[in-house]
Amino acid sequence: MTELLQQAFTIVSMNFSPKEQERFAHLIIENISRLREFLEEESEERNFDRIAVKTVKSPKIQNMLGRVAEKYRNRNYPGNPQ
Amino acid sequence: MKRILITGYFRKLLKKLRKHFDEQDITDDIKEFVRIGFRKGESRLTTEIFGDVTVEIVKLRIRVHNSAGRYLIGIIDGNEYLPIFIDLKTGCYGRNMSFNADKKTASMLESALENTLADYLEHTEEHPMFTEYLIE
Repeated sequence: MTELLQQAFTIVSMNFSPKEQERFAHLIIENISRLREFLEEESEERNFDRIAVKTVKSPKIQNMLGRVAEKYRNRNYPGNPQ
Repeated sequence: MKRILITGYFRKLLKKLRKHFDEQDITDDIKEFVRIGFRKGESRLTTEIFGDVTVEIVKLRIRVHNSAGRYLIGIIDGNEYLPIFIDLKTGCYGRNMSFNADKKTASMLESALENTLADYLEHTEEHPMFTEYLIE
């Protein structure tokens, strides 16, 4: 078992009553295949978010967003000083 | 006045998913987001500040009948809601993770951002590049 997983189970045991811990354990054992699917989905979502943020932060997109902001400002507050 | 801007590029993306979602579904979903805020699985990915104008990039979920999707929108200064990208939850960028999945996702998002923002920038009254829907 990895150190992080041990830490996770320690947190569960500290926060859940023995009865809740038993239910949690049953849930894991009975749904192990669904859990793998969930982990894959979760990992794909995190990846997607990370890539989206990285793309938005790229110089090309930042430049375009800056021009979008400028156009928005001119469309909505044409009298505003830049 | 808050408004949703559907660009020509986003309309093209939607056309590929026409069996699942249409423009009305997207505008209804964004209106719902404006009304109630984030729901499960939705989040603000980043907030970019350009002087006195902020641009938020937000990930939202949509479900219509049996189809589930996720989409990105840009929110300009809390007033203009600009859909950028959409895909199906179980599409090729969902569970079927291939060796080059990250590269494919990056190139697809980059293309969506570039084309949507270009539509916004090139829009004029004489040559409209997006359709506006007011949010009451």
